Formats: sequence, structure tokens, C-alpha cells
Amino acid sequence: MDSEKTYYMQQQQTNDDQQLFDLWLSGDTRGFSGLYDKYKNRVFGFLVRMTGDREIAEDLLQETFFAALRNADQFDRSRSFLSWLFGIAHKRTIDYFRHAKVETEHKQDAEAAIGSKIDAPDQQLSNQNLRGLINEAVETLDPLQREVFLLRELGGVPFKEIAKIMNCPINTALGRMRLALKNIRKELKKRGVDGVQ
Amino acid sequence: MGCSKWEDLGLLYSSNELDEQEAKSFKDHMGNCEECRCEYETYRKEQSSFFTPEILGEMPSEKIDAEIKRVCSNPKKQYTSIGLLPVFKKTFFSVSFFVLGFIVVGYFTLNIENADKNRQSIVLEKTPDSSSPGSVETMAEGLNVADSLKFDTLNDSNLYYSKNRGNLQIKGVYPVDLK
Repeated sequence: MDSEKTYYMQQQQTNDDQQLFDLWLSGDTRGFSGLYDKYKNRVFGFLVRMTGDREIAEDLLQETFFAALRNADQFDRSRSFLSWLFGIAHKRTIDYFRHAKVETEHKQDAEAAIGSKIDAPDQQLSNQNLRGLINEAVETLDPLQREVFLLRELGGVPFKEIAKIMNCPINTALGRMRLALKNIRKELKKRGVDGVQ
Repeated sequence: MGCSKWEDLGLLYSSNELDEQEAKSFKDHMGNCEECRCEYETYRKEQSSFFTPEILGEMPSEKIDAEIKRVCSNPKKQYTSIGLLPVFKKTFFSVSFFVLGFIVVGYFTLNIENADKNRQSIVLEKTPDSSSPGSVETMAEGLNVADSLKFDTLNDSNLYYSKNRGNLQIKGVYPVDLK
């Protein structure tokens, strides 16, 4: 079954990541390069969509990997490396909003903020390809729904861990995800993408 | 309206978070419930075509790539430059603070003790039979009058007198006539 295949693939990926992680800690530069090249786009995508600013996202990306390095001893090997990394990225994002004192705006008014701040290259592409359309739809989501959606889809973080990371009950996380999917489908429909081919 | 089973278990099933028995039960349910099956298949297709790292991910700039790789690639070096440096700094500043504190406190304590010693070593006495002004003689206790330090001591006593004139006069201490 599809689901089982995915499960074994995830297991394999977890083992590969842990080997790279061990290499990294042993001082072998291939370890870090392997992990970084594999996941930088996902983590950076998450940070860009959460902050709405590429420069800030780059700073946070840097901080995320530095923090991963500093807290390497706290990595629980029963978890996936990517989930752990996304947990750190999430914390960095929260810290950023806390320091910038825009947390309230982030929660209540982020749609407008992100709409105005998002980078020009993506906006130019937005009407031309699917990537732009999907990302536009994601940007219209409520920040909490977007967060759950990105943690799940980009980070592959299990819902149980999302609930822990976001400090909410698992049913709340599931509810946000359902709403996120519903809203993305609605937005895609508005933009002329009606369902998956 | 969606099937309640999908709402409760569908997403958890998709993310492989159900235990074996629950997963089997939900799989059996999907065999009978078209709504759940359809929802599951739609979501899987969306995941494989829309919600991929290629579509949702972003590429950081080369500059930041190079910087992160430079700093993070060698964790052993990193532990020293980033991990342990703050600890060294903290320790260094704490120790410096205490040492400085001891020096300052020690300096003042010694000064006070020295000042007391100086004050005690200069005992000014009024000679009983010398009544006329200017004939009052002063001696430093424990010092030989013929000693070469005599004049220094006397000068000190003069200075001491000039600074504390009021108090000393009350106590019967008068200026020294160096002639």
C-alpha cells in the first residue's frame, strides 16, 4: 500500500540523515553539506513563508543551523532530523516575532503584511506557473493554519510533534490542517486550478 | 459534510501516525466509505504534485549558503569558536571582577591601616614646663631624637597639625617650633 511504502521510505531517510549527522559531528564536512543541501530549501521555504521577507529568512536560516550545531547533543535520535530542524526553525521564527514586537500582527494581520513584503521574483512568476499559484494560495492562509501546513508538508513533521511545537492539542493542529487544505483548494479554484490532475 | 472518520483519523493515517490496529481499521473503513477514500486520494495527489519541496521550498542566496557552510561545516572548530567562547568570556569576566574587587578593597583596607599606624606613631605631647608660645617641643614616640627621621616626623606632625588644627588644639596639641 502507498502509505506503507511512504513509511519505509521515511525510515530509510531517517537512517541516512542520522549517518550524515554523525559524520557532521565527527568533523567530516560531507556530513553537514549532505544535510544542508538536502534540507536548506525546505527550511528556507518555511522561513520565507512565515516571515514574508527573504533577508530575515536568511538570517533565521543561519541561526537555525547554528542552533542545530550548538544543541546537537539534544537531538533525540528516535525523531527525524528534519522534524527536529523544523522545530528549531519554528522557535527562531517565534523569537524573531517576539523581538520585533510584531507577534500580534503576525497572528492577526499577517495576510496583509506578507502580501506586501513578499519578494518580487515570486510575484512576477505568480501568474505564470503552478508554483506561484500554490504559494499565493498558501500566503492567503491564516498564519496558524499556514504554520501547521508548512510544518507538515515541507518539514514532514508528524501531527503529534506539531502539537508539541505549537503548544496546542493535537486535535487543534489537525483542525488547522483541515482548514488549511480546504482554504488552499478554494484559493486554487479561484485562480483557475480546479483539483489535481 | 465530511465523514467524521476522515476528520478524526484521515490525516493521521496519511502521516503514518496511527498504530497498526487503528491503521487497519481505517483502511477497512475506506474500502466502504467513498468519501474518505476520495479525500485520501485527493490529498495524496496534492502532496505529490502541489505540496512538494520544489514548489513550497525556496533557494537561499549563494552568499548565505557559503557563509553557513563555512561556519557550520566543522563542528569541532565551531564548538571552540561559538560554543565555548562565551563560557570562557563569562569565566574571564567573573574572575576579573572578583580580582578587581579584592584589589580595591585591599587597597583601601591597607590605606586605612597605614593611616592609623601613622597617626599612632606620631604622638604629640605638650611639655609641662614649657608654657610660652613657640617653646613647645614635640617628640615622636619610639624614635630617637637624634635619629635622622626626626625632622621628617616633625614635619609630618606639622602637616598633621595644620590639617587638624581645631581638634588638636582642643586636645592640647600645639604647633612645633622647628627652630
